[in-house]
Amino acid sequence: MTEHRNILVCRGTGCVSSKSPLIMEELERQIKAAGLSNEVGVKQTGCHGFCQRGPIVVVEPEGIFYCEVKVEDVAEIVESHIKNGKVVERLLYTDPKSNEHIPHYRDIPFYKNQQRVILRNCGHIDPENIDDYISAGGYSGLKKALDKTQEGVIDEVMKSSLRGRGGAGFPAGKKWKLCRDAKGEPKYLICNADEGDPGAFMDRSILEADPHAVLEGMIIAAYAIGASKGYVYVRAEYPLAIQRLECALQQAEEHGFIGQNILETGLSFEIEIKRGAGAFVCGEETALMASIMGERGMPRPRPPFPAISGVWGKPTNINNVKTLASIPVIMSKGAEWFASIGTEGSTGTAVFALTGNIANSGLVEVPMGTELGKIIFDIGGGVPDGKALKAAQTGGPSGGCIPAEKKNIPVDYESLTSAGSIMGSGGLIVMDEETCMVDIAHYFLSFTQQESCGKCTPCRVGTKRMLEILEKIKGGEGKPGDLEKLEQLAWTVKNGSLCALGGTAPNPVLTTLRYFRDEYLQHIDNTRCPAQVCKGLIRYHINEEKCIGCGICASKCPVEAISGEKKQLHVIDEATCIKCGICFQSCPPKAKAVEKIDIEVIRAED
Amino acid sequence: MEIKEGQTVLDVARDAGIYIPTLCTLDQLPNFGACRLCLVKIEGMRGFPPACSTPATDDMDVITDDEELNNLRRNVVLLLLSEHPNSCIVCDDKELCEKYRTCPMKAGQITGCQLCPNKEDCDLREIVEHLGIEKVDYEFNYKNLNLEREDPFFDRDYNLCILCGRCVRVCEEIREMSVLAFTKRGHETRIDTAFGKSHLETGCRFCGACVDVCPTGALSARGTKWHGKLDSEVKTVCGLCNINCGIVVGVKWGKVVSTVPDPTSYTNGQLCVLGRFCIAPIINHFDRLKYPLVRKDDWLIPVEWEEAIDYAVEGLKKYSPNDIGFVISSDLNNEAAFMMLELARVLGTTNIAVGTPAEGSVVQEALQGGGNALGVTHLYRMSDFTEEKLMKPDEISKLKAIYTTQHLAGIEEAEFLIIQDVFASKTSECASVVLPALSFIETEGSVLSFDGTLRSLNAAVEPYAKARPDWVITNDVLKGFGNENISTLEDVRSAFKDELKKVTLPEMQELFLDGKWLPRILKENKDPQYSYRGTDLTKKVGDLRILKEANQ
Amino acid sequence: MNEKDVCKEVGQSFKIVSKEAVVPNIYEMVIEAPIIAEKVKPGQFVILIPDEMGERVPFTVSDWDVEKGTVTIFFQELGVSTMKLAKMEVGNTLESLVGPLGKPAEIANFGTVLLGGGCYGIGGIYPIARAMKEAGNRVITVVEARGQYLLYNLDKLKAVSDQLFLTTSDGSTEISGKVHDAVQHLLDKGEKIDRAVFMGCNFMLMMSSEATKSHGIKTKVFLNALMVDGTGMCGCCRCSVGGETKYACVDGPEFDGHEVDWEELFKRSGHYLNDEVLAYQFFNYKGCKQDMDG
Ligand SMILES: Cc1cc2nc3c(=O)[nH]c(=O)nc-3n(C[C@H](O)[C@H](O)[C@H](O)COP(=O)(O)O)c2cc1C
Ligand code: SF4
Ligand code: SF4
Ligand code: FES
Ligand code: FES
Repeated sequence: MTEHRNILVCRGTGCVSSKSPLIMEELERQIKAAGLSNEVGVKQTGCHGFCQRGPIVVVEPEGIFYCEVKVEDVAEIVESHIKNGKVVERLLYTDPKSNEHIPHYRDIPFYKNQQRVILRNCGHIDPENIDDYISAGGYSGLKKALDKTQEGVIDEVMKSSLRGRGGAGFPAGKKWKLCRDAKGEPKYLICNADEGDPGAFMDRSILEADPHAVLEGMIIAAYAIGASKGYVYVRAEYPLAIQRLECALQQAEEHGFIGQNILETGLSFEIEIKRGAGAFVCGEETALMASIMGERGMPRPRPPFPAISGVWGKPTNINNVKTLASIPVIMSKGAEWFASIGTEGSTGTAVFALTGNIANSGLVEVPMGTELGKIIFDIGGGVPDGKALKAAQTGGPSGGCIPAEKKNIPVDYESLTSAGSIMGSGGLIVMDEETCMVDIAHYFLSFTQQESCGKCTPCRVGTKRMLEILEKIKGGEGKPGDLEKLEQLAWTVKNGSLCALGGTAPNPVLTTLRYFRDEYLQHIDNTRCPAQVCKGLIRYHINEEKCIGCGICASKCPVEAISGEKKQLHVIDEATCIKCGICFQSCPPKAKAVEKIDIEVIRAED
Repeated sequence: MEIKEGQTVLDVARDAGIYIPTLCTLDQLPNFGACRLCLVKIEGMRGFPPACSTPATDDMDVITDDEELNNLRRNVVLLLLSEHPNSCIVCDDKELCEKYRTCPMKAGQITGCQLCPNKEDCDLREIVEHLGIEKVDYEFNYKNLNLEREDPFFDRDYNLCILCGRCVRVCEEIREMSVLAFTKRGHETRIDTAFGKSHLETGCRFCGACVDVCPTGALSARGTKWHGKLDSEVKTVCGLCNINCGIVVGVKWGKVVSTVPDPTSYTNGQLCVLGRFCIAPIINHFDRLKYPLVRKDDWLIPVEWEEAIDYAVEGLKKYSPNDIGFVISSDLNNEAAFMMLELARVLGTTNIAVGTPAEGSVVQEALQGGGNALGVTHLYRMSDFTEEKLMKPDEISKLKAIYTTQHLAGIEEAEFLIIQDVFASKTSECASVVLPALSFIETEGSVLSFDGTLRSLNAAVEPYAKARPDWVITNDVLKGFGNENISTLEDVRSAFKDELKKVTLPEMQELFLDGKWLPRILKENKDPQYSYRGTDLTKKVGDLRILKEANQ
Repeated sequence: MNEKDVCKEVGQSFKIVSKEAVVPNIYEMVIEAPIIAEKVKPGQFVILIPDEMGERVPFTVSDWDVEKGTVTIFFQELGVSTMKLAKMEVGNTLESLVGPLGKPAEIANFGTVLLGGGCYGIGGIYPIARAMKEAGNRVITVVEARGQYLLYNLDKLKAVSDQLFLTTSDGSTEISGKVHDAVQHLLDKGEKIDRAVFMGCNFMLMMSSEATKSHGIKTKVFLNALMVDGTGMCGCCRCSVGGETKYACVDGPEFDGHEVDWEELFKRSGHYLNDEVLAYQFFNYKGCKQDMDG
């Protein structure tokens, strides 16, 4: 035992739910028992972005990465690794392709191919310890900013060409300037941490892992704009994020970064945390402001833009968590450095929550302009179980589906838009060949439909009518002309809606129609779901020759639709079957007797 | 085009006479941007900005109407129609049907225009016609929501609601009550009260502002909605309190069938529950006094006017001036009150009581005194009487002969009692002579409103039964005492008009700075007194009684 | 019809056995009335008074059950009386129920019979259809509504009809339009019809009668719309049929659709309108007439 070691235990939401706090306790206890408290520190961190393999424990300085650690493994880690310097191999990450153990954090493909700017501290520092943040270079950006004039700060942000990470990609510097130039006092600054997309957890992870980065960004923005009051609007379902944020706020205040007369500069800025009720639409800036003011979260027309008239009718600047978390680095490392990452039109990095049919799901950060395929295959490890990639949806439920053949598309604002999708706030859902695109469009649209605030006609009613058509198509009742009707509706909803929720809601439908029209037509003309997903178009059947009579399917069926004696052929009663597919999944691999069969839809005569 | 500060593209277009369809905006309400019918194209702006909420600038290049916009608008309206009963709109027999079914059919639940009370006045129908929609491509989705009709005064059928949000905004922004709100999300979004309570439970004041702004038949005045196309509309002012809000009286079959706020009035198109919902049932109430009556052998017998007047005159002549008293209702218009004072002067008595004496602040006076409290007070002051002499009702009741213009408890015992009133009452039952008078809806005249402004009353309908204007009746009595100076309304008016015109109340000025003063007054001070000429209106209007009981 | 034939069921309580809004604004109500149930024939009606302040309103009996001693009516809420009725609950009792009234429908084997129903008539036409079927006719039934969601009683009608056509103003069913459009449609297709019977609002009766007239099809219509008294005393239901004055309640309600003076009928329908409309001013929200003390 030579140098001082740190054992980092992930205490992000993912790992906490797989019992990482117990692991940490156990580690602390055993280290103490072993009398190693002086040589070895045990420290909590936020999310590493690889929750799929959690709980994660990292030993530094070597950077050994243990995953899927259990409380029972603690003894071995302490005994073998800490005491004897022998890495516990079985806890290392195993590359699914080569089947080899990869001991070092930096060598794991999931991390190797990332460039972490916004997530720079995530997983490395203790989010509840401001000194940890400061020693990682935190609050130096603030000091640099305070040395500049307010215009100087805005210039720097403009030079960095940083675009808002909340979805629309509006240049942050330009927005700041608008707000700064607007008449009216006081001015407000809002950090948008509503993050309503299902499956997205970038903002949550940042708040949990590196709350000070967001606070620092806010203070710099407040200084530049002249805001004296800030709100962090965060959904109440993020208790850990709120707790870390509160803790960070208190520490920052104690250190004089927030409050009256910040760092003796005469600048005053206070921050209040507002808990959102978790409506997707409350992420929309005008709805969010209404919600902050205690009204129903309903968007309103812009202009006037928040920069001119925001909360309480005063100039208000609103930025996403990631936008704000980028600010401190831009200040400390300079705009040029930031602008050198990414593409000309989209500088810096993009953070994605990679999910779906993908080997490695998690949080990834890559330079803007990285090819989609690179993210999916190099970082994400591709589609599991040897299946083929069919499409990827960027931008969450309001984004669009990009087909596999476009996997070389660079991921930046312009390219995604031209492909009919959006950058959005960073959901990235990978779909394999067994995905039905009509079903996917329906799935996303039903989310936005339910989350519509109900205010404007096209979004409230139009999306419902679209859904109804999709339901019919899925059920084998599609009619010729339905696709044109869908397109017409999509056009109306997109162009007629009041806010971007409606404005983007048709994207999944439009892109799937654009790239997978044939699949729709198969549903309509041949009443066939090529991916065999749409329940209305398939039935389940037990192959007489293959059934081994194990009875597993019968025991699992929720509606008791399967009958058959042990060791005898089992039969599905189609009248009872609800097509949940459980039998299909549970039939043992050696039998694979349950089959999906296209059904002949008998159409009502026209 | 000239652009005024703060104008939107829609404002400018309207000023220039350019039509842009709208459903959710309304002049007095803040913009909302919900219906998406006013979408236009503006050079340099992305997409289709809404005209109703986009501020106009000088150098703007706006297209308000082209094929693409019409297409978009048509699609949006079709979406509304996919959930709003539309069969009548697309029905081939429309014309014949309208010919043979000239009136709506009083249906509980509205499933077509022919059944809708809002038919004559429907913004949605107007727009459908403008856009030339003849077919709705969607399967109709009837929401099948329960009718909300367990509240007094209005029915709510949200199956007709298009969620324009006007009702919510008028309640919140103008009336400052927030009884209504948007609830739920997505396609299930609805207008409702908080927690789905009844309006009564929410403390709703039943001012009817929501009913008036609703562009569809979703909100409707239960008692006064089925009249169909009106024969005429008459602007006048409400005589039930001294604010004297402007009203538009709807007339059909020679009857008052509705009263709605006059948007051009100084009260900014707002009313209270009395003016909005109670005037018609009060005026048409069967308990009105119809014929002159005189007491013969203990019975009140209908007689001709001449006989009744003679009876009254002869009766009064039997008493010395000191034994005669007058009760002047503060609901009388100026002309009528003046005539009463004139009669008292000619008879030589100062025994005068004002029915509902005005007390308290100016605002409270306006709400708690009668419909012309200020006018009556001023006329009294103007005559030779001094205010200290004004009698209290209990003093009056001790007199032997009384001439009253309202119901007043305690005076029934008088030896000789003349009542000149609108409704039958305990007082009229005990009277020696009953002189049926016309209400403020049926007479010409003037009132001095609480802000010190003289306002005229216009007769909306023909006189009721044999009833006559108050001033005419009193003048006839006066003639019986040989005083024949006055023969026309102008004669009466010229006697005091200039005096009353001089009344200015500077303390009122501040009140009128913004348009919300009336709702605020009503909010702070509750509704006007539920009485007219001494008659308790809750006894005449069942729903009003329910409201009163709920508020107690 | 003599007064003595009319069962007043004195001393009986007319309990509401069930009440259901079958489609928006149309209710099905089953009422306990054993004597009426025993006597009633297709096409006859009852007169009902909802509460002690109520007016008399006629309703066609659209089904009955002798065993249970009940009669079924369908009604559309279209005024103060039906509003009160719609607000009544199962278990409540009606103030009064008189019937069966009117002459029964003429039932015989005509060959092919076309039955048309709209509004309450979709319910009211049912016993006639049933009887016609039983009499050996080929029964074609056409029902109309504004939209598909307003059609009801279809299963029952289907069971007694050889063919059932649905027609709607908004085109949400196979035939777009009204009953008369469907009649036209059928005749155009060469359907041979020996007799037509229509029940519904006067407008529909008029239009449908016109459609059959040029084809010389004997047409009967049920004029149920305007009645108060139901015994020929009040004269409300007076109408001209073939130049003669008739009273729908005693001489009908079934009349020859080609002989009715429709223009006059429509003019008369307007008469009671103002009073009915004004009546709404005097009801409080519970549907009760206000008490009237001065
Ligand atoms: C329906 C909807 C939901 C949104 N949700 C979020 C969100 O959860 N987080 C966020 O930062 N921005 C969200 N936005 C974008 C915001 O309106 C706004 O553009 C963003 O806060 C601006 O910040 P930025 O300039 O830093 O991107 C949403 C927009 C819409 C239309
Ligand atoms: S699909 Fe589901 S319901 Fe059908 S048989 Fe299999 S397990 Fe049962
Ligand atoms: S009830 Fe009327 S005013 Fe209110 S939202 Fe619906 S349509 Fe608009
Ligand atoms: S929570 Fe531990 S890696 Fe995400
Ligand atoms: S009028 Fe502009 S959106 Fe409704």
